[in-house]
Amino acid sequence: MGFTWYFLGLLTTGSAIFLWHFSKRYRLNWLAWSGLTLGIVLILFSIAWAVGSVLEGVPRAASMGLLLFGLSGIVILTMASRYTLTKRPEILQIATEPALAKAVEIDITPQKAKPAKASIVSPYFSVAIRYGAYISLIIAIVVGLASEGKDYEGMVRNKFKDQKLTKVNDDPVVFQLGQKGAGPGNYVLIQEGQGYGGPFVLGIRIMEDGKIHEIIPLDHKETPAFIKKIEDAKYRDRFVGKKVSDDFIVGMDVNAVSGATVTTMAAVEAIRNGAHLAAVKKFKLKPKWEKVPWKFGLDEILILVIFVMAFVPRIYKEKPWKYIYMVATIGIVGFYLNAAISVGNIAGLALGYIPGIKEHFIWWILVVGTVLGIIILGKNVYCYRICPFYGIEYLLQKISGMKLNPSRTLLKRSRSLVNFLLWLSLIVIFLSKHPALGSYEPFAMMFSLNGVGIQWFILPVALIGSFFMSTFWCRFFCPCGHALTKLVQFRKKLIQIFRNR
Amino acid sequence: MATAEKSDAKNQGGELIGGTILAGALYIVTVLFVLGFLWQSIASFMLQ
Repeated sequence: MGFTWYFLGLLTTGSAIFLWHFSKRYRLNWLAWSGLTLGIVLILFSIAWAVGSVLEGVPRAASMGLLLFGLSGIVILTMASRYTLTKRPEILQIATEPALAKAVEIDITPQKAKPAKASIVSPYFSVAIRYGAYISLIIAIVVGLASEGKDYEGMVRNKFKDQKLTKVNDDPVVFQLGQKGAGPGNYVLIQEGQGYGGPFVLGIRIMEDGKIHEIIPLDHKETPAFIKKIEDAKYRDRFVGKKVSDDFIVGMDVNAVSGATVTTMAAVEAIRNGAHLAAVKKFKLKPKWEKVPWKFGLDEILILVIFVMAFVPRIYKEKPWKYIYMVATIGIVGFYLNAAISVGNIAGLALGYIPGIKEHFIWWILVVGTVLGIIILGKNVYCYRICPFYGIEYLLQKISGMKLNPSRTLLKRSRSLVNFLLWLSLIVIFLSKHPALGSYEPFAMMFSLNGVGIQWFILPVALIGSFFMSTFWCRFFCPCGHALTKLVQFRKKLIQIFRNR
Repeated sequence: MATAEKSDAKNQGGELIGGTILAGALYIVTVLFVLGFLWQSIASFMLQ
């Protein structure tokens, strides 16, 4: 913490010197002074807040501090600077010593173009790296899929350490707590579900009275943000006391959790399947429950309209439609439904993590629709159109009016680096079979304020970066966008190969 | 070249360099955080 104060002291002194120089050059009025001072104070405060929060072990608070105080400080400082540069008169400097001016003269005569340096890496080596990356991804998928199956017994035993456990059925997998045949039924029926980010395993504890007594989360590869929402809403408790013959239909006898609709729908589907299996096989009941209808309400209509509009150039290119569309994607796809596509969704397709179309129509429109758009039309309609994070980046960039860029060397390296990050994220996903582990996008944090550990810091830097650089995240980091671009390129190559033949 | 023009050229050069450094720093910090996240994921997967 001592170093932080020292660093903050240096920054404060630097800021004071900057303000002094600025006031010497421009006639600052009260508005410019307050904007510049407030901006600097907010930025310094956010740094102190973030460091303090990290030291206390609360990364979420650090991230929120950086976003609320830091980003607003940067916005205020930038606007105050722009106001001063454009509206405030400059104080005329008297040119005193021409000798000094000569000393700082800049040579602006066009320099001769330097001959391009020969690349250290030979073209054969780079081709080998590219194909090596593709082969390693295929190996990772195979290894991931072939790795040992789920140890349901271990999962249940982990939850009921002190009780005896007997497996009484294989399909569906059912365990009895206590000795087989002893006492009233106390069964744990295993069911799997397919969430937005990946699969999960639930244990449904059913007693001899034909009622659900507990829903036990045994394992999950779902996006942690959605799991947290469900846990916070104590969603599992809503099923306690329900009969195995109930309908279990979202919107009829159970409700969804706002902001985690797909996950709750998947959980209800898994519980319904398990309960109805128990009703038929164990309790010998005749199926009288309602059939699950297609989920097609306002949410699905909104997403469908947004998706179709992404094919109309007038909507996403021309003003004012462009802005209306952008606000709609941020509001609906982002904040309302939190359904932004991540690299986990694309990789999940390869792993076979595909939820049912009846209940997860939104997932199908966005993920399958985008992939089909690429396969059939060769167009990526998601990036720079439907993506709500792009909308946020665009608006931030409009506020700042700045289009900075890293140095050319860094720009050159950035292409390889984003490919490496995409490769690493896919390898993690395929080997762990857990899409959320490799999805480093800050979308869930942005739109539902949920994240894990270091992930919290990706959001503020991505937003601050987007403030200074045009589409900072999309250009340099987005693994989802780059995966979709690779698909477009792959399709083009395939078509070329077929045409040449 | 007039002194004012030279001064402007110098300032623009300064702003350009400052902007490039800022952009580069933001880029590198983001790369480090992304790598940190992936490293955290690999570690949690290996420890499972």
